[in-house]
Amino acid sequence: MKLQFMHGDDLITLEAERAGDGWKVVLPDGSLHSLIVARTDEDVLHLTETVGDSPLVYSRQVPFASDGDNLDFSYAGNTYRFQTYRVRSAARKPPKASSGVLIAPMTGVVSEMLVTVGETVIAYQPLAVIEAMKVMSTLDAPFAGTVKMVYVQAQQQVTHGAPIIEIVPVEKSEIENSETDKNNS
Amino acid sequence: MKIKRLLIANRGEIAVRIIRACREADIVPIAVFSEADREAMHVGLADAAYCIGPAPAKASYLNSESLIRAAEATQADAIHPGYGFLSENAEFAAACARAGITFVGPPADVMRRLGDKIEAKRLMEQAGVPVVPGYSGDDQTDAVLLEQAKQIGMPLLIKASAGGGGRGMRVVTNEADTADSLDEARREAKAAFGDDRVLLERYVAKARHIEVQIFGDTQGSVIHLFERECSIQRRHQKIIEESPSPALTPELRKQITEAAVAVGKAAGYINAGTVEFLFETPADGPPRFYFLEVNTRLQVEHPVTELLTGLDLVRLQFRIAEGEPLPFTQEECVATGHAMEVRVYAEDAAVGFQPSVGTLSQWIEPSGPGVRVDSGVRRGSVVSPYYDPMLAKLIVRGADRAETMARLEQAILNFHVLGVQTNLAYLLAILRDAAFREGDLSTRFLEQRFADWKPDVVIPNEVLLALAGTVVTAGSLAGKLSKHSDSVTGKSASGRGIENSLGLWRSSGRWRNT
Repeated sequence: MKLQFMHGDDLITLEAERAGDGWKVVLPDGSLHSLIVARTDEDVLHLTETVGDSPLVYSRQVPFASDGDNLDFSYAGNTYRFQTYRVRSAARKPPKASSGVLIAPMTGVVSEMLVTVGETVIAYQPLAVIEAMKVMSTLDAPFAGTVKMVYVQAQQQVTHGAPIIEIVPVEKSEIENSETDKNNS
Repeated sequence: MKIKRLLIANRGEIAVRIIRACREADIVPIAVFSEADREAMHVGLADAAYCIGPAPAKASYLNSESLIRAAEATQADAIHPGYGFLSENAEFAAACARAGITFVGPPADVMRRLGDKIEAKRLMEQAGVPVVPGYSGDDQTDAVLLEQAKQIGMPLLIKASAGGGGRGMRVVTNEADTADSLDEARREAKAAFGDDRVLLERYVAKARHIEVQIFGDTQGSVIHLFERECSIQRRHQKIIEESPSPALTPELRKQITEAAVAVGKAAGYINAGTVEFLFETPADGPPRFYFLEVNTRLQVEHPVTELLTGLDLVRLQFRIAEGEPLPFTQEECVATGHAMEVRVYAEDAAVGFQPSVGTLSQWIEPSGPGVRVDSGVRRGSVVSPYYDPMLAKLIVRGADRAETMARLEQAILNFHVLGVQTNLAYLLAILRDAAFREGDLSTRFLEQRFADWKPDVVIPNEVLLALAGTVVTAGSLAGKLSKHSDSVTGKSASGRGIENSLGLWRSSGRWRNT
């Protein structure tokens, strides 16, 4: 059978076929592997690979965890995440920085919110401070403009990529504001 | 006076480690927790637990009044501060004393003298211990600091006077950046320690960080428990520590440990402390060391010394706090073998070592002879953004450095964490580095050799095979992994699989051994 997963933006296709007590698995590079696979624990895989008819084998334990669509593996100090492949992946792109929507650079807590909606800001002005595990990251205004939207409050937890503040450039802010008003009414 | 009930004013692995010592010493351990730590491991292990406030550290673990209240409410007769948080806060030690609670650590006046880097440096200059040239004056105005910075020259090190663990520390290489770096260091110091005074030093470009564990008792004895080398640091944060230091000859070891004891005696030191030195091997002369600072607390890396000496430093701390003398003399302290520690952090090396937050969906610790793991989390633990990213310490001991490194490498390979990103692969890469293996270390080692390091993006075959394995053992269609099929169809298939694979494993073992 054909097994398909996503790893980041890459599609990974594997072929697996029963062979006696084990499985024959073809990897994306075309290599063929004879495998006996078991779960030594609910979520630890014990892989034993046999090489031809030779009595030489090697065996590895690979712990994993599944969470919704995600499958995470731990191997040699690294972690690898795969998702179940779906034909139409719902691609929800995070807002681009150039749009004026500033996103959280990391998962953390908003330790300071330095501006309010409607406030005029200058380029490089600090707008908010995000803190995680004693690392502080300051969000600076990418250009001069007006604060159109503040998505979060101080002390709120935010995840990586979450919108924090939207800034409208100075020259556009007049038009944008009137549009916002129109939409609201 | 014997401690009966000990409040542990900390969290994470150090709280767990202190609880363990309490059990052995027949002391009732009492935990404290913030609202974010209600479910944390240390809370469940103690006999009593007390909520000390909301998640941010300032409102809980750094809240001295709340901790004293917790101690009174739980009838604790002693407080162990752990490391970080209030451990080097003399006001807190004094507040404990006023409340009639034994503080497991040095008395407030000793902490004031030494915990403050500016004062400590002056004291050591008087005691004749070599110090790094620099400015440690009271005048903290911009004009004076910038002028002093200019005189010391580049590269320059700015350090928070109240600092530790690299917080509030900046290296300046370009004079034009001095003012900005000064602002940053002050802001960080203010946030972390509530004190924005800084000192300036000549930045010793290629130096090792070698520290000496000392212990003093209330009878006036001060002894040392040998050195630890902690040169492997990322942004001034130690990540690998070991002992003995590959740089010390027996003669240098004698000199540096004697200097550390002199520091302890000059300060009237009581309880556990660590004297940090910069160790330099100039091209044109013999090795030199300079006094850096004294950490007036138990160190994160104390297990290195424990594995080497066979002592339990936390229990020794209890004993000293109870007013007992040190149970041994300097001559009776022996260190054998080699020990090395790595700190496992929740951080993502692929994106600039950003803190990584999440729930641990897997947590498998290595074990075996000479392998010790001090951790404060387990599977299911939530790693929150509020506190330090250190999840655990992995410490191994071997007969010599080579054996220790081989053991550590295997231990890292068998340490499995899912749910957050960790630095395990990074630690493994450092451990396999040729210069590291040679013991050619400096505090700039990582900056020089690992600045551009990224985890390998190629997926190993083992992982791809495991990926297929999850599906075939789940006995369901491609990519569909439901809990139900796991437990029903998965079991019978896996039962047979284990049998087969174990059979093969045994036969291969015989094949290889004969």
